[in-house]
Amino acid sequence: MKGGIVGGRRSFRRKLVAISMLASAGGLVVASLAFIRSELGTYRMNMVRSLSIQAQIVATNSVSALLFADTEAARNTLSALSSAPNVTFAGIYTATGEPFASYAPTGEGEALPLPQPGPRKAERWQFTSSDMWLERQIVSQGKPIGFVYLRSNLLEIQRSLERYTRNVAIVILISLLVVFLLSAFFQRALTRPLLDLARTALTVSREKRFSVRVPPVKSSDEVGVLVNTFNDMLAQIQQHEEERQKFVALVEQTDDFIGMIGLDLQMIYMNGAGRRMIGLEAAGSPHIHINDFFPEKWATKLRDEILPAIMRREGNWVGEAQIRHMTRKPPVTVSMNVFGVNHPDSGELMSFAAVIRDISERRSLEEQLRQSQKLESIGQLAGGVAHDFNNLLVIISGYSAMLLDELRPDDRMRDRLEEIARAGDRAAALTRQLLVFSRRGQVEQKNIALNEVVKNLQKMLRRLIGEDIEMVISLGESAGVLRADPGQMEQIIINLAVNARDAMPHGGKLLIETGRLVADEEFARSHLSVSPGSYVVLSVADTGCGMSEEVKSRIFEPFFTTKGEGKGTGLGLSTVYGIVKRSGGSIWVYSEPGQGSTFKVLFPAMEGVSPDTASSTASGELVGTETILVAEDEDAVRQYVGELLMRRGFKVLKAANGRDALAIARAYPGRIDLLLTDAVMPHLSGLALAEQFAKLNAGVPVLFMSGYSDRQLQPTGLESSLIQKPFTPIALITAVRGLLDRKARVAS
Amino acid sequence: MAPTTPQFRACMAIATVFAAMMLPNWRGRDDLFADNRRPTEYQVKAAYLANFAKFVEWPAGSITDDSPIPVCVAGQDPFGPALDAALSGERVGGHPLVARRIDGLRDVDGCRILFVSSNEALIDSVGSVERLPILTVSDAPDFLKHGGMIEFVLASNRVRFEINLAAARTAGLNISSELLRVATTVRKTP
Repeated sequence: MKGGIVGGRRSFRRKLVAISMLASAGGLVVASLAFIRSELGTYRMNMVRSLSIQAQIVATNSVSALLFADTEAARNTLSALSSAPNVTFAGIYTATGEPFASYAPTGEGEALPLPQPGPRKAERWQFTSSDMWLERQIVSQGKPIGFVYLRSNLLEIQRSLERYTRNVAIVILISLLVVFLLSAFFQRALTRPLLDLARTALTVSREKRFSVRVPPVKSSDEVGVLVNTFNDMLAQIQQHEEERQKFVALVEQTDDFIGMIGLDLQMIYMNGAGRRMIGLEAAGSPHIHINDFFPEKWATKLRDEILPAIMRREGNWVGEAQIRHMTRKPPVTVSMNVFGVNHPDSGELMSFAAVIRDISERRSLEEQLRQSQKLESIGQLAGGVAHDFNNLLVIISGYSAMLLDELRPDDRMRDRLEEIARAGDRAAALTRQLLVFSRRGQVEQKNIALNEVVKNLQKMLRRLIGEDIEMVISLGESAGVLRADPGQMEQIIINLAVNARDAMPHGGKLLIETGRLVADEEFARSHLSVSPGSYVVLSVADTGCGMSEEVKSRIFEPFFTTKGEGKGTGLGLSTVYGIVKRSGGSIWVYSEPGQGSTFKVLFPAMEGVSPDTASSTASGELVGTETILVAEDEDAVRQYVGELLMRRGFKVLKAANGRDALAIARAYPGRIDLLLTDAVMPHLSGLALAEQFAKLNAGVPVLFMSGYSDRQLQPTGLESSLIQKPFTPIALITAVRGLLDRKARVAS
Repeated sequence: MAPTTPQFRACMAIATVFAAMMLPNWRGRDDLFADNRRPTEYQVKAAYLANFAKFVEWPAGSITDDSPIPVCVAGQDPFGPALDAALSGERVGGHPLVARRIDGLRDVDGCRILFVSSNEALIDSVGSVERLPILTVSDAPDFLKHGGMIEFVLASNRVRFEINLAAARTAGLNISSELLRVATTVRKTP
């Protein structure tokens, strides 16, 4: 680049100097030639004058010689010319042209030449190429009596001319030197702006930098105009370039596919998003036809309907379509806006353009949202029903159990009553599951290590899935700790394993994996309810029959089952769903018919915590003699719970509401060891009761009963627990016994 | 250029011959002479007489305005018509020359040029006109000794003359140095 500049500068400057030199040299030479010519004339005139004088002298001095035919005297006269070395010949002639006397210093033997022809005058002369001659009449008494003829060489003139020419040449050389120095000095004024211009132009064309400027020139001559115009031009180009870059950035950086199709349906332009969307790696791949990235159906529709409509000026086409990725198989669902691009001047249709947005992710998210909303509403309905149903079941099951206790072993009513009790138990189990699904069941959140849970379940799972299925367990080292109810966590694993087993009636392979997944922004964007972060992953995969899309969209609905009549409750996966949601996790199914299914469960990873030690349920004898105050507004439940406790040896005080309970507590003279209260009661809630009760009987534990577990029932400073309705007699006694025993352990 | 001398001399000889032959042509008197005929001695002398007038200055007043200058021949006339031919058309200082033939030196009154024929008596009496403004010419030997001014001599077969400058001065005549140059001898003392 530097070489080019320098070369250009040299050549341009050299040219300029050369032109100055040439012009000056030409002028000088022409002037000098004129001078030399004029000088030559002067020399000639001088020579003629000098020769004329000599001829005059000769003529005057030879009159007598001529008149008296004294050639000797004439020769003497002529010999005086020896003092004029330029005279090569001199002759005296008679009036009729007869030679009379001659003088020839260089060639004495030379014959006397004949006089010049032509009319004779007083004096005449002529220059020839090599010499000159002069002829002068000799006059005596006004009459011509002869003439003198002198011939002279031009050596004098030649020498003078040579000298003159030499001087002129020296003057020319000196002048040219001065011209050279001056032009070399002054050419900068001319060349600098031009060289700046050239350099700038070079920078612009090589580096595409339009921000450079030629240093401004003050003069208003053509160069000044050129420089200023060039700068203006650069400013305009820069402005256009910035404008262009803005649009390029806008178009290239958007996530929307923006493309231009020629009237021949060949791709003219496609932005980066477009290339990514159809899997075109190289930028500006030529000769892409719409058939290449539209499925046939859409290519046909475009060609036959959409584009002709635009050509008929019927307006833009806006709608959903599908485009095809070059390498990936499933077509991508897109929203598409197709419009015609008109020539800005003529308004003629120039090409077609389309703005295409990939909405497959949005569609997927919408589907996810729909699913989750569906399950949410089902859950609310199921939860509401289950709660009310629970209270009824407590009575049905409770009295059935009571009656069974009272009947003799051989009573014929016993079988029927046991049938009722079993149905009650089954119904209770169902409602419990429904409550879990609707996330209303009671939970005991603990930090648990997923790998431990799976390991502990291993033996049981083996038994559960049978011998036809190969079970592989792969525990990821990094799986880590999550927060959930340990029992429910086990239930998730068992339910998924059972589901997998049922999908493989003819045997297969069950793969249970644990691990860690770090969800990034993109993963989070495409997975509803997953935010970026670290997750503990449980993956249960089978090689079974797989699922269709339709089935997949409904598997978490309660009571939805593909298994035969009576083979499943349809609540297994619903329960799993409920538990996972409860734990803040999410569950994903990947399945295609015939390809098996994979369930992936994600739990937020608990970083930096160690798993809690599993609390073992105290398994003492489920009897007692302590005094228990029972507060329950529902009469049937109060009676049932009272009877239950009294059968186990407890002393029971009963209250129909909180105020009664407080009154009894105050009035009772003996010691009350435990308060068992419904969480929700008129006049005074369970929690308020517990707090006031604590003032009377400090340190006495409280056991709450509730259909809901989402209430915060943890009064500070109270030893308390919660039992969820409906509960089995064993569950109730176990909870009561557990609280009393814990109190006793603390006291001792 | 010594080796070329013979050629040069030959050249000069030819030139001289030509010059002599061409002399009558000056005056356009071709009719007097046959073609290529060499002019006679007296034809040359007649021409010289006319030419002398051009180099002599007479004392003031001796030549009046518009009057011709008489050229006199005393004694036997050796020229014949040649003199008249030579003088005809010649003008000196605007004055025409005319020939006059006189018998003796008594008749020299008015003459300005006097040719004295080779007559011993005449020659001896030249002294009688020595103080008159008359240019005396003769081809008689020893003319100058007798007080004559110009004496024709023959040298190398050519007509030349000698000049007695003293005699001319005595007569008050001024002879141009031009004429002195072409004279073979110039006597400055009497």
